[in-house]
Parts: sequence; structure tokens; C-alpha cells
Amino acid sequence: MGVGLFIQSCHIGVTDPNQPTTDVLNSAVGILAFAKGGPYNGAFSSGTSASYYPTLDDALGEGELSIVQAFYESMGDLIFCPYGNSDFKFLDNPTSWVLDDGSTVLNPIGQGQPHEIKLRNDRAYGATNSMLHEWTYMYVLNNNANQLLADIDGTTFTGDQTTIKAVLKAWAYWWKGYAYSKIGSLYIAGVIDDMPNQTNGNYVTNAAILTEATKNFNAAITVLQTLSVNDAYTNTLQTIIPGTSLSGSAYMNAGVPTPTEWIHSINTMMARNIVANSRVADLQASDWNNVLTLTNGGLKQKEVAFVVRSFGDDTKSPVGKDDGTPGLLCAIGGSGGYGSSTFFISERFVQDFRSGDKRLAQNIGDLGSSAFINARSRGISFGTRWYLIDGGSGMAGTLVYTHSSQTGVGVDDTYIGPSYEENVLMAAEAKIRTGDTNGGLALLDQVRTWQGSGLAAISGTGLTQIQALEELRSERRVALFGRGIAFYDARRLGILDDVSKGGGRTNAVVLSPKVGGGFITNIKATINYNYLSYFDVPATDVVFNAPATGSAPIVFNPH
Amino acid sequence: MCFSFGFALSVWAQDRVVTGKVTSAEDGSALPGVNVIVKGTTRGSVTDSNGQYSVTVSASGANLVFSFIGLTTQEIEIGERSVVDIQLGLDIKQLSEVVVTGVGVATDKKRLGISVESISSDKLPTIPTSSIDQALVGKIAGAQIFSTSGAPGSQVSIQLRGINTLSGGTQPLIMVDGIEMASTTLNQLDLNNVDKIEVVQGAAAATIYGAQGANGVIQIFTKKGKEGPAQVQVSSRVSFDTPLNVGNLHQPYNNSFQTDTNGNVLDNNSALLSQDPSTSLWGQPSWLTGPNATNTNKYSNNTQYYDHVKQLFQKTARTENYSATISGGTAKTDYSLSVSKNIQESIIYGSNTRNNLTLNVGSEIFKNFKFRFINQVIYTDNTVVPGSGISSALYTYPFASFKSEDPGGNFLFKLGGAGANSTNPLYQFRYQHYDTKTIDIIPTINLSYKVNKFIDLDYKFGINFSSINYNRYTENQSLFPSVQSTGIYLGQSINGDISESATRKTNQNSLATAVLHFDFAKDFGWNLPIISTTQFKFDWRKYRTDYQTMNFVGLPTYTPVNGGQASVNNASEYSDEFITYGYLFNEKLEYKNLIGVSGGSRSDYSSVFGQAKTPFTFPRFDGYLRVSEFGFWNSLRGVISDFKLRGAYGQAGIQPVNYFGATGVTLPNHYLRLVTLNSGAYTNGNYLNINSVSSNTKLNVENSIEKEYGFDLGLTPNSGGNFFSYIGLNFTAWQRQGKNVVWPQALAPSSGLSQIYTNYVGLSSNGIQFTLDAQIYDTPTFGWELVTTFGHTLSKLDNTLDGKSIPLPYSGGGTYTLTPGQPIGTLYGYKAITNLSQKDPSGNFYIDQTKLANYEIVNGIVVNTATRGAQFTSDKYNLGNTQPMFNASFTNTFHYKNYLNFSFQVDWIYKQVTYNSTKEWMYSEGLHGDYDKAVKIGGETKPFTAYYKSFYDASESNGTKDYFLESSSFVRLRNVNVAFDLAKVFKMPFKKCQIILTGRNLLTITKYTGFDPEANVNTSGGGTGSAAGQIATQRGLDLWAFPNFKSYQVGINFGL
Repeated sequence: MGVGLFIQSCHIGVTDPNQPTTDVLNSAVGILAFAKGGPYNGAFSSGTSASYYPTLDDALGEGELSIVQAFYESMGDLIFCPYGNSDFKFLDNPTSWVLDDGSTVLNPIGQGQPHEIKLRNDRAYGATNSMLHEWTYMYVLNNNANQLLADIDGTTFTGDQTTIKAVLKAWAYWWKGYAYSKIGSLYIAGVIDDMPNQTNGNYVTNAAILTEATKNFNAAITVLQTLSVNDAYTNTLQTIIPGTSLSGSAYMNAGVPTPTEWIHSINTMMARNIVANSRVADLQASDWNNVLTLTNGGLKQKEVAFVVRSFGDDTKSPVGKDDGTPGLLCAIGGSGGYGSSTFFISERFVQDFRSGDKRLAQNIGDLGSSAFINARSRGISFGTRWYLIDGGSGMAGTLVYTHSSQTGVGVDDTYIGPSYEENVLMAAEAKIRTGDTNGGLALLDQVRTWQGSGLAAISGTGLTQIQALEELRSERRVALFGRGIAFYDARRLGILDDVSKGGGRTNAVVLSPKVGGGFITNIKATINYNYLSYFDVPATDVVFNAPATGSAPIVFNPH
Repeated sequence: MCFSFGFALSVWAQDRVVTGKVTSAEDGSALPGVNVIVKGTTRGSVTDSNGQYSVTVSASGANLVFSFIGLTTQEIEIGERSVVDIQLGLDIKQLSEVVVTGVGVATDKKRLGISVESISSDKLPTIPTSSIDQALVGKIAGAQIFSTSGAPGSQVSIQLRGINTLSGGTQPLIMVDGIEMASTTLNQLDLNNVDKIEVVQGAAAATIYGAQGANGVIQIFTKKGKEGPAQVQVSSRVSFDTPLNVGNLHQPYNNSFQTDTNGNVLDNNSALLSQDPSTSLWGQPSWLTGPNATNTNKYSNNTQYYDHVKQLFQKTARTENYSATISGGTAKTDYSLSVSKNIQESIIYGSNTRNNLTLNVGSEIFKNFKFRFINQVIYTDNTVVPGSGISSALYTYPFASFKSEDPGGNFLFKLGGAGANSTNPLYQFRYQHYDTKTIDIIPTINLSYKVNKFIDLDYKFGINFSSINYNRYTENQSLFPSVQSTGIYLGQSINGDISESATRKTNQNSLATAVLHFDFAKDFGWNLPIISTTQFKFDWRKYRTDYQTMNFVGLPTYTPVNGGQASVNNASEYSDEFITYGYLFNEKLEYKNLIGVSGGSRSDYSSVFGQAKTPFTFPRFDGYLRVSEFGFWNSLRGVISDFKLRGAYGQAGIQPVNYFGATGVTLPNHYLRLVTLNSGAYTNGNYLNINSVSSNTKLNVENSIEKEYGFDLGLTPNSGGNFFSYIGLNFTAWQRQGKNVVWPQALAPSSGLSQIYTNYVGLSSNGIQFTLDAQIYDTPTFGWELVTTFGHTLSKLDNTLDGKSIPLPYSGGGTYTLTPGQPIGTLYGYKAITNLSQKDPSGNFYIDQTKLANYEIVNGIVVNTATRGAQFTSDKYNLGNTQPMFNASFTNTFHYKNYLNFSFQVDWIYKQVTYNSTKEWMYSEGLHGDYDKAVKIGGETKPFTAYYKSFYDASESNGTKDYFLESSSFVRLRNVNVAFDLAKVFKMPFKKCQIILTGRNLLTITKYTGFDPEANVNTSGGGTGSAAGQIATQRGLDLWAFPNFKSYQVGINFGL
């Protein structure tokens, strides 16, 4: 007996059979799996395959693409969510509305978006703190890239090691550049971290963060310029890009980007960083020329872009087929009972379609008697007569915004990087704003044609620059729905500013309750959004990573 | 070991010898081993195997004291006699019980330095569920054992002495007949075959269990056969259960929707609100808003009122219980075999059926070598739907009936415009089928050998295996018009799914013990009345969990169907292993009957701490002093028969673990020490990424350090009389500190990590507890006993590693924060402003003093007369703590002759508060019954909706507010029991034919306004990732909590 007991006691060094230890990063197979999981599972995943972030779990789903993209789309008033999860009910709720009859309606809940979301920028609010989400996901992305960079050189790969290591380095720099682009475009400040699992208290301005993004993008370009397509190049990328992101569809080419295509994605991102982060009034002709240069080297039609796709088996794709993206969250299969949904299509989005645009008929359905207003009495922007048709209404040759499991599997089109349309519309804007109105409109027409809008060309029809810019504003909303940039546009055009400072949206469609039942469809309402232009650094970071002396301000104080 | 004592040995010239025989008062048999002491001296003797003794006494008068464990001590005046024969009777008083838990060696309670609660099966109520954990409610002094959910198969919340850990839960170590049971839950065991339950509550008593003892120990002893012919016991019971709704929680009987002039509710297009003829979905109504809206429209015509509480709950549910036991034995062997079946219907939906089979056989194989084998087999089938549907039911507008069908006769899942957060619970019950089948096997063997009178050897080995097979089948809903229309369905796909998981948990426990006894007087003939007990123990444990889950999505519309017919399937698995072992050494020395001291330590190695290399050592010591055994007590002994002081110090541990919810089961993670990467696979192969919650190689055991002091008092104020012949009081005060408590420490997210497991927290608790057992009246014809248990506990967070507080945000619930220096369960939030001159922490008035005319005080709260909104502070305050001031329980037992027994138990929870999140959510949309109540604001008395809604919206909508922190103190008639034994009154072919009537939870007195002040969700905070039961940090949150039920039970027991 005693011997038996002694033998029993010898073995307590258990190993975890469920997950490998970090030692696996010293192997080629570990590094390649890590290069894939860092971005796609660490930052972009949603649904059942999601990495679990206890601080961000608010029962609505997780991930950069569902919740954070929905922040951008709802603050840009393409969609709305009237519920308290992740603080949406304050995040996308304007301060006041002036209705067609001249009466002013005040936001019935809270003291306005800036106050409410700053109030909740506190650890006590957990996932309700909307300022926490993008920050967390993008620093997770950056950290995984840092770990990858730290391990590439010490690992032995079989075959063309030079190419494999170069691809992995370009990959890490690209995602670091991407992460800093997102941080710099939303937060008033950030930190620059190059060491795995570490941070520092030197908060720098968002401009400095964007400079860091450019630095990493340029590092990626430098590496990519040394590469050409060969077996090692293709095999590496086929391994580190999820299988579901390797096949394309009619409006989106996916797969393994050539080094050139990859550089084009980077150039478009750099162009976006310029456009998104300046008030239009502040951009000089030289800036627009930079945008033109970058977009000339940006994504072309049918070039391979960075995308994710859903899949019948949710566990095998980064993106859940029902809730992976804002589009999927909004989409419903039928027209009834939309009041039971969580995310909705905004009236201000629908009014931005031009008459006859086939993309409207393809994607937007009429709720009819199921229209609803002033959801839960939380504000009259929370009302709509429309819904997003899951999988489109079946018109051949016209862009479909979203497909969920209702009508098809494996066809969701979700960009995580920039798109051809965004590139072209930035080029169009640069031209229009620098005097080449017609040249810009021709590019705009290209997008409308490519997406199957059925709209007649407007270049050469004599539109003024102001008219052309209005076409461009609405076209960006319609063409780039679901791509997470509506907030940038609303900010740079001043729409989010307080009306007293020249902001707001006029001639807006707003549904207001009618005394005695039903609702009034206002068509000339003025909406005073009065949203924050930039977010504060999340309090969770500040509490555990106090700003060092000389740090940039970490709180955004609108003036 | 060497002990020397300097007692003076003197020989008195006039000594004489007294002899005699000690026999049993019960059967007249000789009693060997009885201590015979000459009172006031150190002289004494022990009876031999024939019960004979011989002792030398002085010539003058002396008294002899006869004592033996379990028998009443007697003192006899010798007078001139030279032969003194006496009979000793069984000591029925509590102090004389023999216990083993916490000591390791069977010990008379009179000789314990620690507090051990023990309760025999006849003191446990025959509750409908026949589960041990429910039966323990109110029975253990100081313990907070609450029934927090009425769902069949759910466990009670057990917190023995304060909150000692944060992530692992407060669940104590459960042992069955000396062996740990870690895989099977306590509520699976059958109350029918329990002989006795012993409880030690904290580290002072639980050090012998080392790194798993800090939450205390509950040990179950199963029934053994007794010597004699076979005895057969058969019982059958049935009970009828109805849900509790002590606060009359209901939705309002009126509404404030937009209506036409006839009071008919309108939809958003100004038509009469109606159900779509093709889908039966409701159109969209609108609430009247603004300060003048009142909740006064009647439900009528197109919108009838449906009581959703009634639609959800069963009128009555039935619980049946059957059991049969056969037992018997000879001088060398004994056996007991019992079977039982318990079928419990939920008061909402589904049922839980439990079958128990227990075999207990023992035999003396050769002289002094005993063998015992006990095996329990339990098969459980649970079809209860988790989550209960309470939130859906209470959040649906009253005009929508859950029984409404579409033209095809199908229920509706979403009901259209009947509420944003509403779904139809009855739809789930009809189209989604849950079934969890569990097989538990608990075999243990025990070999014991008494080598000689000095050495006892004992070996125990047990395996506890639990196989949990979970199945959730959601039917294909693609043909239902309402589902087609909304696109919202139940389960993973509109085409249905089957979700299955198979979990196998095994824990093994191997325990080898050697005990050395030396009685220096008896064994060596030294005149040194000291007994030494030395204990060595080796204790090894291994847990293993294997889990597989399978998902089958997209099913045909026909039935039957299984996963093989699904269009998509995927699978996943998880395994967990944990090994620990430890050595115990303990030495106890007792001097006569007066003093005992013991001390020792235990060292544990573990796979989860100390880098799986370094042990942790837990020291202990205790002592007792039987004051009433000293000579000076003689004059008091008539009234105070026993008085013992005791004190103990000990440390015990909790192994680092994290529990997480998976499909159909809660799983342990014992790998918090191993830093790993997150892993998975896409269509083209594996991926890895950094875990956002990091493990920590340096993790150590959670250590609990406890001191307890107490006394045990036996009073005989009316010795020999009928009233108050005996009163026993056991009192204990304790203090404990939890050090190195494991918690995922938050990190700056810019590091790329969100948390890392560390030994982050220090906790402390203190409390007092007592049991008062009074024989109020005691004659052979009539007896009345009152047992009172009382406990007061307060636990607080002392410190954290980085000094930061721990907020516990939880979507939809109250905001709890663990702050250094504050009690656990503290809520932070907004206070209602109660007077116009109230100031904020900076000294500024909350109410604009130039506009006081705009405010008045309504129901004690400042209200803005223009908006009709209640006013709350803009600052957050500490609102209070959900730990009760004390909980007490009173059990009265009456017997009349030998055939009629009557007992009732009253539980009292004092100064407890609960955060009523259910109410706050119902306030948010005009769905709480309070909306019908008129309030006087600005001279008008009406049910203003703006007034009620403001409680949800003020300061922070759905923010934590003192208004919803309600008193949930209660007095509950927990149990009433009448048993009448016909066989004792009428001539019958049975030894026993007992009719039993039992009522449970029949009456509750409380101010609480929810369903049940005892029900709460016990959630850990932080959403889906940490759904372990028994989580301590967020007690007292009622967020759609499942109420307990009231039940009436009739039963019959036959004995052959």
C-alpha cells in the first residue's frame, strides 16, 4: 500500500491538453498559426469563435466587426440601436431635434452623448463603457503583432525562409499600422507599444499615433517591395489568411493579395487616415494631392482586399453568420416584428439614396404597419419605417449589403481593410475639392456603375462643386454601408458638431409621435447630434497605466 | 516523544478497596472500559471486560465518578459500602455525541477543542425533494444555507462561515463516509439513507483537510445495518407545490398606450392595435409620454389583459418520493440496501427524476480487521428548461397571450409589438426540449485494522464518477409564419438544431491513516492520567473532467430526427486534470477529563500551486478545558452539569480554480498556472493567439487563517423535573482571514492583455454562532424540544495587490464593487433625494435653491412637479450591503406517547437587503404593478407614468439606485410536520405504519416586493464566462430570480 501511495504522489506536473503553451511559438507551425489567430481571432472574431474578453462582454456579441463597426455606423446615423448594451442608447442618440412644425424635441434620456459616454468611461461600467472596445481590440491586435515580430527571426522554417519571414514581417507591420490607424482616428491619445504584453505611460497625441501607423505601413511596404509571388509567398499567405477569406464574390475579390495589391490596400488606408482625421475645411490642396497620389496607388477594381466571410459552421470562420457585422445585426428575413430586433436601419440612411437607385430596392424593405417610433421612449431618432433585407430582394447585378444564414451561407461581404469603392470615392473627393469637379464625378459614376445602382452618370451634367460634394456625401453613405467609416465622414463634415457651432443635419427625415396615435414623418427636421469628435483614453487604461510626465492630454475637451 | 509529569504519589495508611460491576441500563450487559475515578483525586481505575472494577479509596466517605463516552456520567457516594454496582444509561444529550469530522479520530464532543455541528437524520425534515442540501437549511448554526432557486435540480447556496474565496465559490468540501465527493453534487444524494451529517465550518477545524478545507466540510454518513434480523422500511410521499409570490409581483392592470377616444389601443398607423391575420404578430403600439401621461387605460376590446405570471407558472406541480430499505446484520457483518425514486415537477416547466441505489456492507474478516464497502448509484433525468422564462414573461406587454397561435396552430416566439425584450416562454417549452441525464457512481472501500491496543490502521479509497449527458433539441421553425416574418427564431438556426454535450467527471481520493493511542495510566500502569493520540495521514486526490460538445444545425421538419440528419455539424472538447496530495501529523494529549490540547500540521503538494513543486504547510492547534470537572464546580453541578471552554487556531486552503459555463455544464479550469495560447481552427487549419486573460506560473494556494473560541454548556435547571430538564448551549465566536485569494487582476488594455490571475485579494470575516437546545418539557407521554440556531457573519475585502477596487459590472443588474475596507456585497449607486436642502459631497445643493417651488416631496422623495420625475443624486454613494445581520432558525419538536410527533421550523433572516433588479427592469417600460398606484403630485392624484419611469431613468437609466435596494428580511415557516404511527395504536402486521403530513414554506412574513426574498441569482458578474454556481461576490441580486415554492406533502412509512 505504502509503495502504491508513493508512486501516486510522484506525478503532479500536469499539462493543459486544451491549449498549447507559448513554447509553441518557437516552431514554424506555431508561428504560422499565430500569425493567423492574432488578427482574425484576437481582434476581428465574433460569435462562437470569439476570443473571450471579460471586460467587453455585454451579451450583444463581441469583436471589432460587430460592436465597434456598429459604433461607427450608428454614430454616423446609418443604423441605430436604442438599447443600453454597450451604451448604444446614449452613443447614437442626438441632443435635440427641430421638427417640421418648428417645435424642438429634447433628448428624453440623459444629458447628451458627450456627458453620458464620458460618465460611463469608468471601470465600474465594464462593457457598457463604449470607449473601451476599439481600444482593447486594437491593442490586442498590436500586441499579437508585437509577439509575432519578436519570434520570427528565431524560428526555422522549411523551404524559402527568406520569403516566409519577409511575408510574416510585412504581415505584422501591416496589422500594427492598421491598429494605430484605428486608435489614432478615434482616441484623443494613445500609447506606442512595441514589446509583447507590455505598455507604457507615455501617451502621445492621436497625430503621433497616426504617424506611427504610417511608419509601420511604410515598413510593410519596404518589405513587400522585395517580394514577388512565388510558392513560399502564396503558401504562407494561404496558411495565415482564414480559408473563408480566400474566396471572393461578385463585388469583392478576396484571396491571397499579390505584394502589389497588398501595397494598394496600405495606400488606401493611408489616404483614409488623412481624409478621416481632418475637418474638410482644414485640408489644403497639398493634402488632397497627397490623397490623390495615395489613391492612385490604392485599391483597383477587382483587386484582392482584406475581408472576412461567414460560414455555415460559425466555429470555422472569424465572423458569425448572424451577428458578425452591423449589417448582419440589422438584417431580418421578413418585414414583420422588426420591433423585436436590436439594430435598425436609420431613416437618414434611406433618405440618402437617390431616386431610382437599385441598391435601395435591392436592400431596403418597407415595414408597413410594423413601423415603429421613439423606441422605448428613448428618443425620436429611434424610429424607422425600413428594414434591411437579408440577402437582398433578388435583383441581379446590384450590390447586396448583407447575407445572413436566412438566405445563404458563406457569401457575406465584410471588409476589414479598405475597399476599391472607398479608394475611388476618396480620389473623387480630392478631385472635386481641388477643382476637377467633372473628373471627380466620373470616378463617382464608376462606383455607382460597379455596384449596379442603375443611376445615370452625373459627370458632364454640369453639377456645381457644391452639388457634386452633396452627391459625394450621399454616395459615400450608400456605397460604403457597413464598412465602418460613416462616423469619420459625419465628423469631418462637421455634422456631429453642435448646431450652435455650425453642426447638425438639416432637412432630415425624423418620425415623431402624433397626438392621438400614429406618427408624423418630418422631412425638414434639423438634428443636433452634438457627439464627441474623439473619445477619451479608456479609464481602465489610465487606472492601471497612469500617464507619465509630459504625456499628451488623455481627455478630449470639445471647445 | 517523551512526557514527564511531576505528580506526587502518596500512599495513605487508612485506604480500603471498593469493587463493583458496571452494566448497561439498556440491556444489562457488562460495560468494559468505563473510567472510575475517586472524586477529587488522581486515583482511578477502568472496568475490565466483565465490567468489573476495583479501586482504592480513603477510609472516610468518598465519591466515585463513572464515565464513558456516550453514556451519562454518574457520581455515586460510597458511604460505608465496599461493593458499588451501578448501571450507566445512554447520554442523549448533544454534548455526548461522537464525531469524526475535523478530528480524524472518533471523539466525544465533550473532548473537542473545535466546533463540530452534527445532526442525525431524525432531526432532518422530510422535505419533498428529499435532498440533503435542502434539508440542511436552518439546521447548522452560523451557516448561511439558502434556497436561492426553486428550479428542480438546482443547488442551495451554502456559505458556512463568511466569504473566504472569490472565484472558486463558497461550496464546502463534501465527504461521504470519509471520502471526498467532488463530482457529484450534494443535492443528488438521497436523504433517505443518511444516518448523520457532520459539519465543520472553517479552517480552525478543517486543517486536517489541508488545501481543500478552507470553506469547511460537510460529511455525510450513510445508514448501516444493525445487528439483528432483516428490517424493511418502505415509504411513499407525494407533495403538491405552488410557486411563491409573497410580494404579489404582477404587471399593471391598466396601461398608458395611445388609444382612440373609446379607449381602444392604437398602433403606430392609428389603426386599432391588432394581430396580423397571417402571422398573428402584434402591431406596434406607442406609450403615452410626458408628465401628464397616466396609467389609467383599461385593457379591453382589442387588447385583453393576460396575467403572464399565471400563464408562466403551473397552478400546482407534483413531487413524488418513494423509498425502500432492507438492512440487518450479525455480530460480524452488517448490510443495508436502499432504493429510492424522486420525481419533481417544476412549477414552471419540466421535471427532475432522481433514482438512488445505495449498498452499505461491512464485515470483520478476521479479528480486528474490518472491511466496509459502500456504493451509491444515482441516475437523474432533468428536463427543466434553464433560465425559466421569467424575464420574457414579465417583459411582455399584458395584451399578448402566450397561448396565442398563428393560423397554423403554432405558438409565436416573438410576439411582434408586445415589447422589445419579450419572447414567449411557452414557445420555448413547446419547441425546445432539454434533457440532461446524469449517472453518478460513488463506490468506496474502507479497510481498518486494529494492530493492538496502541495502533489503528485505516485505509480508504473512493471513486466518484459522474457522467452528464446534455441534450437540447430545437425544432425546425422554418414553416412558422411569425418566425418567417421576423426572422427571429429559437436556437442556432431557423431550421432547428441539436446541441449535445457529454461530460465525465471523476475524482479519486485515497486516504491512509495510522493512529497511535497511549493511555499512560491504563497501558503502562503509570499513575499518570494522560492519554495521547497521534495521527499520521496521507491523503491523495485526483480530479479529471472530460467534456465533449456536439452541435448539429439545420434539421428536417419531420420527426423523429437526430444529429445525423443535420446539414452542419461541429464538435469541440475540453479536459481538465488536477492532482494534489498531502501529509498530516497531529498529536493530541488529554489530562484526565479536564484538559486536552492538540496540535499538528498538514503539508500539501498540488498541480495548481507552488509551480507543482513546492508544498504549502498549514499548522493547527486547539485545546479545551472542562471547567465543570474541577472540584470547585461541585456546588454548581446540579444546575450546570457541563461547562467546557475551547479554542482553536488553524489554517486551511483553497486550490486555485476557475469555473466556466459550457454547453449544458459548468467546467473547472485547474490550469491557471500554465500560460497558454488560445487555439482553434478555421477551414484551412489551426490558429493561435494570445489569451487576453493570462495564467500565472507563480500562482499559490488561497490560505485561510482562522481562530475560534467558544464554550459548550449543559444546564439542568430542573434536574429530574419535567420542565427544562436540560438546556444545551454551544457558542462559538470566530475570526478568519483569507490571504492570497485568487482573482483575475485587471491590466491596462494597451498591454494587449486584459487580466492576469494573481493571488490578488485579502479577505476577512468574523462572526458568532450558537445552538441552543432546550428540553422544554420531557415526560414519557409528552415532550417538547426547542432547538435554536443563530449565526451572524460579516465578510469584507481587506486589500488587493495593487490597492485598486474590483468593480463587478453585470449587464442589467446592480453595480457591486469590492472595495478595500468594505464589506463584500456592497452596492454603489445613486440615492433618492429626500429633502430639498440635501447637499452633495462638495457641499452644493442638489436642488436648485432658487427653484424650490418646482419641487415637492412625494412618498419621502423629492419630485419635480413639472416633469413629475423623482430626483436622485448625481453622485454615487455606498448604498449598503446585502449580507444579513443574522440568520436564525427555531425548530420545535413535540411528541405525544410513542405515536404522535409534531414539529415546525421557523427561519428568520434579519436585516438583509436585496437589489431588486427585476423591479427596475419592469419599471423601465411601465410593466410593474406599481404603475397602477396613484400618487399625489402638484395637487393631482393620479398614476403618473413619468413618476414611475423616472426611478429607472433618473441620474443614470438602469443605474443602481437605493430605491430598488429593498429589505428582504423575512420570517419563514420553513417546515411543519405531523407524524402519526398507526402501528403503535392499532394492532397491525407492521412495526411501523406512520402517516406524515408535511408543509414547506407555507408562510413568509416580509416586506419584500418580489416573488421571494430568499431567491436570488448569485451571479459572479462579468457575463457569460464565469457561470459557476456558489459564487460569493454578488449575493443578494434578484434579476428574474426563480422563486421557491410552497408545498403540501402527504406520506406513509411502513416498517416490517
